Amino acid sequence: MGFLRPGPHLGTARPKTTGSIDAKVIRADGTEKDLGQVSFGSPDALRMWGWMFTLAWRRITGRRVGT
Amino acid sequence: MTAAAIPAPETKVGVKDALVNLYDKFGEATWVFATYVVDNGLAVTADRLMDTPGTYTSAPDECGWGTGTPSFSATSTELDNEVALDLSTGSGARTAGTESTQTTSTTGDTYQVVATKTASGPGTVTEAGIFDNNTIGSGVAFLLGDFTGIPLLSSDSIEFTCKAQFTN
Repeated sequence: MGFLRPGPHLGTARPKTTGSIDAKVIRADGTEKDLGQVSFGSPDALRMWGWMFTLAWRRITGRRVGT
Repeated sequence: MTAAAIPAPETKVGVKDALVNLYDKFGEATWVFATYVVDNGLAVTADRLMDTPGTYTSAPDECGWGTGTPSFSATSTELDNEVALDLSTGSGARTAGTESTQTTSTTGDTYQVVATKTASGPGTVTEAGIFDNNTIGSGVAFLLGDFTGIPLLSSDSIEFTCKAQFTN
């Protein structure tokens, strides 16, 4: 099963840091709304996901992303 | 005599429209908004592992926010339009946060800073980050992120929880 193990050659096991930001809004009257995670990013993963999404989007709809 | 009610036209949603809606709801947000431990943040991490940090002698626990339209990358060094608690003022102090380590995947793998910022003037907050200096425009950014704008009036607050998870 070793051949199924992700390794550096697949680009899936590189050490990395992943940043994220959670936000909770507290209005002046004391009401609160927890927005949860509002921003997240592992740059490599984000870019790869974005590319795959873009290609699939164009293939399926024929529409360019952002238009 | 009353007029016959005109039936509302049927709305048909095809596969393409459904995909458009899905993209509008989820895809763009995932595509656009990101948080980076920026390059300088990596340098801060390495430096502060030493018994005596050589360069970065203050922890990156000062939280800033901004009203810009950033496009962050790993090489970003600052917020696009950092502002003070008065969201129309571009100078002043950041907010000291509370540091801790948290467990995301493995024990203690995440550095976390929690800071509550209370607006003294209205505006829409679109970005935030943590720095190693309390003064806007000074110090080094460790983590920068953008998000859907959060409109605030005076005396409204945002409690930010900024996290950097380290994985191997």
